[in-house]
Amino acid sequence: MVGLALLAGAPAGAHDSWIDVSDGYPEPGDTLLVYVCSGHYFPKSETAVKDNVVHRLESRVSGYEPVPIRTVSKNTRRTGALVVKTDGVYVLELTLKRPKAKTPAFEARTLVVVNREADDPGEYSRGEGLELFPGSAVSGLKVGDDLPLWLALDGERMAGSLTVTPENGKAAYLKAAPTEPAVLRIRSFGKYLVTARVKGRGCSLVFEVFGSEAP
Amino acid sequence: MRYPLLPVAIIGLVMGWAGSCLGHGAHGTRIEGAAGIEASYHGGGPMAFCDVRVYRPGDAEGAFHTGTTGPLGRFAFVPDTSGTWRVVVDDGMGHVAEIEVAVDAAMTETTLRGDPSNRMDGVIVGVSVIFGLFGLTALVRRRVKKAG
Repeated sequence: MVGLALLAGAPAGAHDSWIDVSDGYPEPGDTLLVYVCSGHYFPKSETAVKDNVVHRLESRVSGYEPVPIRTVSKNTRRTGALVVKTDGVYVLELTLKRPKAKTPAFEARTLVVVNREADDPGEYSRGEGLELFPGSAVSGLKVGDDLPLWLALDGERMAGSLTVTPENGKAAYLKAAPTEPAVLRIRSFGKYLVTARVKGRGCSLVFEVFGSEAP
Repeated sequence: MRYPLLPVAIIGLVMGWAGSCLGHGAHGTRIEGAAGIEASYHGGGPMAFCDVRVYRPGDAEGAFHTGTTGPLGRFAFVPDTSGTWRVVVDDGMGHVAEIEVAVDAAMTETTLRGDPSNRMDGVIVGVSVIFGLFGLTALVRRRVKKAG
């Protein structure tokens, strides 16, 4: 007699991963706390991703070698530190990949601008992997501005659906095309999480709109 | 005795036949009675290459078995008791699927085919065939010599 297995499936729920920092616009020489977060409700992290899926986490700034960032799991997120030594755009990049998988499961980035006058949108895109990047400088954004957002895979701009979750405000759903970026209307100060999924791969971008509601 | 090598030939051929019968169906590591799961994300993609922990019925602590899903998010195991088994698939990025697998008594009666002792079958078959061929050859040569 052949036995029968009755499978009662409980499929996993999709959620996002992102990199957060203690300050998106630090001064040269500052030490930033770097958080690897995962969950459903930005900016609150619900789960610390495991060691064996953190394939790469590093900081890139023009003119210097990438600096690996070591993080440790603490409660619901992973925490590390980064010293920003020079002016410029620091792009923090995280790749999550299962040990035996061929392609990354998730690629997360965050933008840190040291000295807002040194901000350069040309530094936002690396041209590798699945990435989201703004088409104009984030450091000068004000409430009411429009921010173009591109989605690209290995440097090729592509179509896709973007979800934008501001730290203060409601989520927005945008469409990007290879020749036309998604356009985000900035409605509040604070941090923004942008996410997209393409063929089973996910990516995220975190940037901060400088300022405060109470001048 | 007219054909003194005839018994050798007959014994050899019989042993060879018997050996080949023993060896038939003895192949590899096929396991009957395995239970399996397939884990996927809500979006539809498989939970590929994810960590798997299998818990026996009523045991929430120590995992009975651990492993990794394949590229299609599948994993199979061999239960040793009936009841509701719990399989936890974790992608390490916050997605966890818990799947219950109902196992009946028949599934635990596992039959392993390809017993290592059957490896001797090949040796027995080989030796028997050699004996048989030698016996037949000697028999034919003796008859030819006699006819000449």
